Amino acid sequence: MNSIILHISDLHISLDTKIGEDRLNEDSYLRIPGDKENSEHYIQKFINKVQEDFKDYTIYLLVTGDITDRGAGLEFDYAKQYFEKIINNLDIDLDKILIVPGDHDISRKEIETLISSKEDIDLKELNQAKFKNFISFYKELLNKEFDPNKIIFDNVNFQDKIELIGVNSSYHVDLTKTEGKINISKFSDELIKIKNNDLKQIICCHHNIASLFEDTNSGQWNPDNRVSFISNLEQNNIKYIFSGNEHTNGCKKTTGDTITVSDAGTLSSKKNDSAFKIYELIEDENNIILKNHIYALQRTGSNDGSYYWDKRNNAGAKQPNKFEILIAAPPELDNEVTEILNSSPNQGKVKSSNENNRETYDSDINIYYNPEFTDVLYDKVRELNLFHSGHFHWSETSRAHNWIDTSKLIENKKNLDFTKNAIINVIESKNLEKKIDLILGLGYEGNIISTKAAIKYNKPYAFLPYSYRYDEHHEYENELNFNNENNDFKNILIITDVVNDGRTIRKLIKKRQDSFFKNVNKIYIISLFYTGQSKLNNDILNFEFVKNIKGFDTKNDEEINKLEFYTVKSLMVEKCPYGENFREECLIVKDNLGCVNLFYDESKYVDKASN
Amino acid sequence: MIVSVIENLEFIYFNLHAEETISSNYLKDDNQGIYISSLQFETVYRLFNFINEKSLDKQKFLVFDFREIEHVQANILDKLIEVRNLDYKLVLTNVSKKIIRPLSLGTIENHKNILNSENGYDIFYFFSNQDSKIYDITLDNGSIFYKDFKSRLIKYIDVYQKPHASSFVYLESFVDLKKFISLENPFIYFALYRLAIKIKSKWQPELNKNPILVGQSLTSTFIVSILSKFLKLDTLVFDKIGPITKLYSKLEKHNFENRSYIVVSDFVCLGTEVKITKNLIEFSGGEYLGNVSLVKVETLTREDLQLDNIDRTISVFSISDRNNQELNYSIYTNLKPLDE
Repeated sequence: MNSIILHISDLHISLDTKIGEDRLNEDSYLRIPGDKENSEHYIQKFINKVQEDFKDYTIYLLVTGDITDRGAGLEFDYAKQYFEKIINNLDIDLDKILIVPGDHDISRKEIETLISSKEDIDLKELNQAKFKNFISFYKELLNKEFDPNKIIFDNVNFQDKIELIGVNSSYHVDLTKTEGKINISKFSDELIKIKNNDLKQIICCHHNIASLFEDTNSGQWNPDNRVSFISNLEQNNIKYIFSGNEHTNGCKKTTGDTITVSDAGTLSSKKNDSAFKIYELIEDENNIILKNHIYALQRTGSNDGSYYWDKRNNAGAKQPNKFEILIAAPPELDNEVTEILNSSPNQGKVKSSNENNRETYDSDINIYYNPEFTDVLYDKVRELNLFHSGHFHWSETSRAHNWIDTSKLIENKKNLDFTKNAIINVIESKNLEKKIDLILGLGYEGNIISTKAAIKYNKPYAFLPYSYRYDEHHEYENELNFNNENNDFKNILIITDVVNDGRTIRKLIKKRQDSFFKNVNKIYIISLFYTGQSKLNNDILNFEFVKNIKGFDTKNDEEINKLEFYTVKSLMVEKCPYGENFREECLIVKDNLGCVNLFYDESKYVDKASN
Repeated sequence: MIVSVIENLEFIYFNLHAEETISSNYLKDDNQGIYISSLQFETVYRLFNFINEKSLDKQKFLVFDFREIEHVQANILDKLIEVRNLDYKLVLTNVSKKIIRPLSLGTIENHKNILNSENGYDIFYFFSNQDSKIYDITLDNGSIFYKDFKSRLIKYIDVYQKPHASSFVYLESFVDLKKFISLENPFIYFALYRLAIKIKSKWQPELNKNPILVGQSLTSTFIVSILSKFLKLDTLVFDKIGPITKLYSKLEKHNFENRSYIVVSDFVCLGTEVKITKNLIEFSGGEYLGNVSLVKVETLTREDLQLDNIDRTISVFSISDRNNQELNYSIYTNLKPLDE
């Protein structure tokens, strides 16, 4: 059966009588007890809309706080009635409901009573008192306990794909503090206990960590605490937060685009935009995608009905149509490489992949793709004119008519950071960080772009020259420096800037560092660019694969088949069509018709040939 | 990962700013480099977990170096007290005046605490016991680092007795810093942090010109990569001016005009490769600011070097007449001594 998460927030069910110094909230369709009939009608209209659009769906209910306006007992009594109505009408199982408290759900009266009756109050007592009415409401509605002294007080499994994690961001709220704040170490400890690694986690809390309308992007969260919280979520690979509080239906990313925040908006404001969201699970075997349906209250002002709920256009609301919670499969690869426009004489022209007869291979495709890195990296190639045409020779057997100047790419510190983060993103999206025992930076550029991964994942690190450049380095620079006699390093990650057919890597493994690699079970390879001719897959660097490529020279190669390869961007280069007699057959080389860019010392080969 | 831990017979040293730099730049990615001055809870939390999980000798003092820290998050004191509650005695060093109040240091009285002229504490003993051996121990971070670096470095000095790759001298021994980088992990990151701090303190006016870090060997590109993050500087790779002096052509010429450059090396012996790079930079119209390295050899006395009050070479460790015998490092030529 299809399923949805119905996300509502900030109902602000409000007493219509002013008590003492308490505020009187007139901006709610849910004012009680005087206006209770209209309030019920409002709830019914909301239910009707959900039923109309999602009949026969399995519904999960997420409420991200501020159910009431001042946490009063009577407000919660009505809240219970309205929620029972929603639950019964929409046929929602109790174990499919996550209700998060907001700062308006705490009882200031109970805090005042506690303060006036006792000295030296600790936070636990304070939390027990301030959530007293919420605790009762929670127990009566859901038949389970709400522990006010937990940060993660509940979690809901959504279709064995997503774990909705209830976070009490009002943990530190009191008479003076209203912003979101949690104890990070406590959160970490609690997360470890409940986290199911087979599911993707989404944090559900009241306070907004990113703001939709304020000048700053810090939301209504304690700024220092927010930084630590975001960092902790990043470390736990949690990329989505569903929250409320801001009364603005929207979607925003934190700085660095690491975390997406989806705010349901307020359900029942008379003055402001009333809205809710429905996240529909898209049936997909490999990926987890939630379609983002936005509903907004339309006010007609007519006598027959002064309002109705309607779906909002996502593009108009500047919100994504879908949230890609987990993307396992890559997008369609055809045409992933497009022609570089505005070519200068020096620049190359990149061909589309289907202009070329790429070899196909009958296996499941497992590659890396993330538009934030794949597409942006390609943009940088274009902007910086990194793709060149000409004659480029890296070794006697490695020659091409195009070259990507990665050295220039990483000169700028921001671009260097970008490439380091791209490598990190590949590692994390392929869950390699726990598998690898050692990281090896290959070549100058490979060494430069590897360091962040080495530090972030705290892995042993080594670096080596390309195998064809060994003769040009001091003997000490050619040493790997780790001993693998005892099979300590079973899985190795090699990071480099450009990979073509992988011959250089296979030679490094067998010809240069056999004593180390013979005890290695698996070698993961990550490159910024793949310039080979094969259709991307994670096995295309294995000898068993390349030997089947038409015209492939197997003579100068090594039989290595334990490679698993991922690249940030595929950008095919045109290989030099001439064989080992290129000095005689290629007129440009033979007659010196144009510049041949050498990246190796050919004198020993030329001398050898002339002798 | 804690990069700055240094253990000796009496104490275990931690540099909080180095750890904060690692947290903020590598775990959180806020890209402030070593210029971050606020100590975050997360860093102290990492430190606490390290101390709690490792079976450190509880007889030893824990020295927390606060140099470069100007602000602390409010809840850090609680975590420090948690460390103390693990049965360790804490000593805080280089405590700026600005963080005395946030750390509530006024609540602990110990007349042996050493105040400095800026009303911070050079040393703050986080206990009141007056009878302790720690009072007799020098806690200068420079000498703590020097001794530790030296004891690690000596393991990577091999007997060599071959000609130098780019200078006309023989090397009695070879300092294998590539191996040091790989095997002294994570200490190497602390050493590079110290190098970055040294560059910042000595060359602040030069850093305002946003100089470019130049790597000219495989090993130096590792250092360039880390320093670029720490100092927030652009990079340039000369491929390559190493032991085999050959510079491969760059298709698109780098524009050196009106830019300044810092040449980065792992090890500087006689400086031949640095001079080649310096000449290339200057010939191409760039400004050479100086050379930085992990280790340098001082073959001349400081007076004879005539440094014009500006140290054009910065390293975190020097091999000089003070320690070369201890390290088994020397250079010789084929010429006969005159007294033979």
